[in-house]
Amino acid sequence: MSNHLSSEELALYVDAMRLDRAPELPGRIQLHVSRCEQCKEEVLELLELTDTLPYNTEEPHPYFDRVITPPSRAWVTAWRVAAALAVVIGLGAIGYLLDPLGEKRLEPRAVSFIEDSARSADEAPLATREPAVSPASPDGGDMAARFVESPNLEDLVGMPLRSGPSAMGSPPAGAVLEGPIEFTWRTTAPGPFRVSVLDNTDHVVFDTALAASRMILHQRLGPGLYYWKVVAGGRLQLVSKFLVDGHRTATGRGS
Amino acid sequence: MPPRKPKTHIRTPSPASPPEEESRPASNRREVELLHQNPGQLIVEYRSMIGIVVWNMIQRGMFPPSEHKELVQAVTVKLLQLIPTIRRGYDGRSLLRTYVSAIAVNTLNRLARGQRRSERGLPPGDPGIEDPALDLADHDIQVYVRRLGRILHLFPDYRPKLVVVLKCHYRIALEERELRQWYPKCDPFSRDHLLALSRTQTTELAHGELFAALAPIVGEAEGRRVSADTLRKWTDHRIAEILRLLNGNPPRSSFDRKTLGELLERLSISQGELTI
Repeated sequence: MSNHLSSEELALYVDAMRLDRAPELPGRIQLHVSRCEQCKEEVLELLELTDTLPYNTEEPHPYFDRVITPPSRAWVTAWRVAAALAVVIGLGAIGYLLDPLGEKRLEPRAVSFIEDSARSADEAPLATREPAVSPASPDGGDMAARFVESPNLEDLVGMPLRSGPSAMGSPPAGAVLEGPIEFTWRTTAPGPFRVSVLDNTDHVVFDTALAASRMILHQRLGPGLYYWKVVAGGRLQLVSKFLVDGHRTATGRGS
Repeated sequence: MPPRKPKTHIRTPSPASPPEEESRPASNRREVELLHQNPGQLIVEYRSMIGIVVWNMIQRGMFPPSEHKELVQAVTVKLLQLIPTIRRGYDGRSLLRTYVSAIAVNTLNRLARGQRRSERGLPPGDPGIEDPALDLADHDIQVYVRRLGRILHLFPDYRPKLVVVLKCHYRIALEERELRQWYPKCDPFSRDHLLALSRTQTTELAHGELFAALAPIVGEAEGRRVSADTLRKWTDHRIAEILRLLNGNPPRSSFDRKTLGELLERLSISQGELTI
């Protein structure tokens, strides 16, 4: 028979017989000795040759008197939670892998998204084309959409207009502003001037007529990209743009 | 009927004085600490233990008594050489001294085999014992009775069955508790039948008939079909194995099937129940 007892197992069997605790031996050792004559011989020989050795029976035996500490309650709870999670994750994974419709369900969603995007882009009339995202509004919506350039106004920013190159404005195009904004402009055209502030979707958020070439806007604007324009004598004098940063306090002046 | 003294062949124990007995051994924990921190000291402390093991082997006739000192020295040196192996091999389940004595016994067995081959020129496997026929003294019989008791503990897997079958085979009165330990659900009819079988004389019931009566009950206990012949062969094998263990390897006695029965009867008288 292979896998005979090691010297340690042999010694353990001898300890067991001396202490009369053979039934407490590991099952493998008991089973092997029951069937192996050679190991029986070795156990018997060692037992008899060490028979007269003094034996300290008061001392706890390293194997038979070992203290088996049960796992702590916290550990048991942790193991139970971990086991429950593992079961839930395992079941989910099995369900996903076994569900034949899972893959098909994803396809129509992706396709419809693409179709919707294409339709909205193609069907929008050029003159009134809306920006690809919803207009910026101070009280909601996608923040990024509020900074998308207006296709109608963007091309006019900084372009030489019919009124001539004398028109200049402040704040400079693209300035980041906050709080009351001071607008100034200089043009050869006489007043009165019509000044309009528009958001990036071409909606007018402020509009006024004045004789002076300076205006301070106290209206609080939400974060986003804005355009402003000056019209005099029925002619567009100036188009510029500025940004309002929502993260800054609304107390500064326009740069 | 008082049991007859079995005729055996044993080697005459060599007259030599036993080594001094060890005082109370140190704790296992301390010995393990010494193994790792000061192995030389550990082996020095084990010298008396080694002396006793060597003495016991001399008593068995494996070495001449004059070699006691040299053998103790040889085993001590060998153990010192084996310290790294002992450190690796000992996993802390048994007592360290039992483990080290197992290694000492292995070392002595190798030395004995080497001596037999070289000094006597005997082929391997030949035990090379002299066979003076001796009548065992009562003390010696007790030694073998004790040995038989230990041998029965070396069949942990089926000791209760072995005891019942051997007692029936040798017609040694079975105890009811021995029977219950083997077959707790034994019905009263089978129980009475077995108890009666173990008390019959060989003249009343031949061996073949005994196994024919025993086999159905063994079959019931094991939940399978057992023929009388199968049971007889199983018993024969177990008896042969017990005899080999009893006589030793190399053989130091020559108990046979008949004298085994007498030893078993003595064991039964001295111990009462054999299954505990």
